[in-house]
Amino acid sequence: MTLLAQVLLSLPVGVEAPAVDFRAEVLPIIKGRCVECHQDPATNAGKRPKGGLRLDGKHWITKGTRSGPVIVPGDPDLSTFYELVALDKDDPDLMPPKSDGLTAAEVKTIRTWIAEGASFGDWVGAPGPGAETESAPKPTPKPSGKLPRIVLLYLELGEGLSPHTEEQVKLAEGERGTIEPVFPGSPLLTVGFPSHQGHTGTEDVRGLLCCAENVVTLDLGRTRITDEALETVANMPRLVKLDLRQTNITDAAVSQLANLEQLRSLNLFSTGVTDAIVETVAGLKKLETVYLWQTKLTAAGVRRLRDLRPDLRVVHQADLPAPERGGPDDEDEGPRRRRR
Amino acid sequence: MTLKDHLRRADEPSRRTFVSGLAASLFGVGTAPLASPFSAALRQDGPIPLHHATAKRVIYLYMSGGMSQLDTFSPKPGAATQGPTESIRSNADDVLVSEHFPLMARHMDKVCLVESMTSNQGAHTQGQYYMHTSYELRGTIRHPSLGAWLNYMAGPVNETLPGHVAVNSGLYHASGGFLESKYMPLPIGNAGEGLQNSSRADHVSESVFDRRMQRLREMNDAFRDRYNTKEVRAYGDMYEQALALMDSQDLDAFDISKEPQSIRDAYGEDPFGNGCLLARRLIEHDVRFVEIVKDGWDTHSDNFDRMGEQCPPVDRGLSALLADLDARGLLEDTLVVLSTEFGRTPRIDTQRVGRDHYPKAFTCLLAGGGIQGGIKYGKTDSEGHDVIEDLVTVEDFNATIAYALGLPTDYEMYSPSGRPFRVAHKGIPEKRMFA
Repeated sequence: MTLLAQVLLSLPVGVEAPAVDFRAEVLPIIKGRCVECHQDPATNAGKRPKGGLRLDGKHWITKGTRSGPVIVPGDPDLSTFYELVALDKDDPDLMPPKSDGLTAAEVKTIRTWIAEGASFGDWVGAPGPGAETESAPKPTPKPSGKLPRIVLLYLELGEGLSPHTEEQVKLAEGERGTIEPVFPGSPLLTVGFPSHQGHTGTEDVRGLLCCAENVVTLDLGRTRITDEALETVANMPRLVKLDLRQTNITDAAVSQLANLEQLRSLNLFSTGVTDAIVETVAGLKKLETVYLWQTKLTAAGVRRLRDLRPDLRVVHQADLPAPERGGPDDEDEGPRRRRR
Repeated sequence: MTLKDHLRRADEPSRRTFVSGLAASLFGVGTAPLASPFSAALRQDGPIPLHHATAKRVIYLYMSGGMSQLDTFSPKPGAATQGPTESIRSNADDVLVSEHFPLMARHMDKVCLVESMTSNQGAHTQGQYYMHTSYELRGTIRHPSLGAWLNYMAGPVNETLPGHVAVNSGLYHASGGFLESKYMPLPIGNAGEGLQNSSRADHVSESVFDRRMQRLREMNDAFRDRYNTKEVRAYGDMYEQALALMDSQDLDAFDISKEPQSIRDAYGEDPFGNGCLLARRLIEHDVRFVEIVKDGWDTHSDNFDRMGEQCPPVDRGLSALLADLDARGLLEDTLVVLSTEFGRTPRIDTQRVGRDHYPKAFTCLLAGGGIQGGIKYGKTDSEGHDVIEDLVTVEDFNATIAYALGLPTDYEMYSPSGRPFRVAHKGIPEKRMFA
């Protein structure tokens, strides 16, 4: 019989294995092989437990170390307690140290015990600390967070929308595009041409028409599109974010965006747009940020836009640090204090 | 990576994953189902989209040596532990920074200050490794760092540039770990010099070069067909990647001399400033993960004098980076991280006028990429000894970065020896840091 066949035949069938009894099967292993180094200093001549881990009581085993629990009930692969006894025999981190470790049967018992939920039965062992021994202030537990705002928006926008078919996506991607759902299972799409920015033109954008209903973010930054590309973009009713930075588009492009009711972010950095776009941009009711650095907008144009839409974040310059001043007396200026 | 590729990959667990999964279940060491690369993504039940990315790219600024939290971003004015470093107000409510960050004081409205970081590693090598990989350093395995995980799980965005670049990085910083060599960071020694040896030598004509590469491919293909393993493929991939890079129209991204002098001045023309500028150019071309290392933070002695040397380039480079990214509209989906292996003791060593290693409570920064700006996350006591609110472990911190990038933190990848690993180990994302 081959080795493989022997192994296969000797394998117990997982689901039928009898449940591990902690007191009868696991506790002897822990008492015999672990507790010597992992116990109460009071019972061990004042020696502190190794790695800050005590294994002489239910409370302590559950508590784990300072970095957290060592047992995840139901998941041995996430349990450091199992991981460290199951390491290769030549691994320096193998537990117990300075030995060949536990026997294969013992390792398997621990694995099964954890997989079955790591129940201690009625065993308690050394009791945990009372309230009076609590020392360091305990961090307050973490409240669970909410979903990022943008995800909530995508959930809302995707409501009732039929997902794209694979053919549509393939057609729309063409030779240069990259199209992905905003998250797995969402009908909404995020679109860009990241590997071919310099070769992407208006034709490539036209290809997106078949998915236009589903596009929520479109990155056309640094591409070679012309104003005509925005005719296609105008058909994207759910577009939330449009990036046109560093393209040759002009005011005519922006004038086609007036019906994009969901648009939140419009990037026109380093394009040729002028004050003529102010009214169109101000009319985009949900717009939150517009990027206008290195455009032909004048200070007056920016002011007019801000007057029309005080809620809109208008970014028209970069708050870059001023160049360092040279000169020998630099040292004496500023608040820097030196220690003698 | 395109949707098609995702689907293709979903159907094809690699031979190695299949074999290791099989071995694991045969020999009784794993009850996990056979791993397929996208099982985690497919396993999701319910409509809640846990894996929407708020960030596409990461600029990871690593303060090597252990940055003193009290003398940089978490001063405790009036505390006995503060020493002579003074604090100044910033443009965010309730956020003070040390006097060494006058420029950053204008940009704290973009930053989430994580003041309750805690690590269990108090030595440099181990701490750096842990911060980068979420796993403790062991003799038997090398874990991938975050940048490698990102490229492995989400694929490159720009397919002609490397997805992972590291500037001035050391052995225990960014690494591909046990993954194929294509996930290793492209190392750059000096950001000011860009990518060396990336063009064809003058004396080799294009046709000669193409012929040579063609010949090489013919020889390699035969070998590759016979010994089709990950390691062998990795050699071939390396050549193909290098060729794609040589031909890339985006090669200019590595050349910061293309920037106007005013921008160079704003970032500062020192290694860190140059690195930040290079990072901005690379992420503009959709390189996924760029790490810049700034060393010299191990201030056991002369801590306060040395802060005056360490901080200014970081103050300038980081504030220029945030301002520039913001004005270009790139901060929306670029996550900027500033991290370090541990902090430094609140207690001042009066003999050496220094601070020693202190992993118990220290500070890291997150900005952009969907993170809420102008806030402090977590709290330490009045002297900075202990975390008293919202403890963030190294693994939680990395899980938060992974969450921003849309990477499922419960996805298990199997190492060549068949052990399961997760992007942030057991970390739990801190979702309240997000806007």
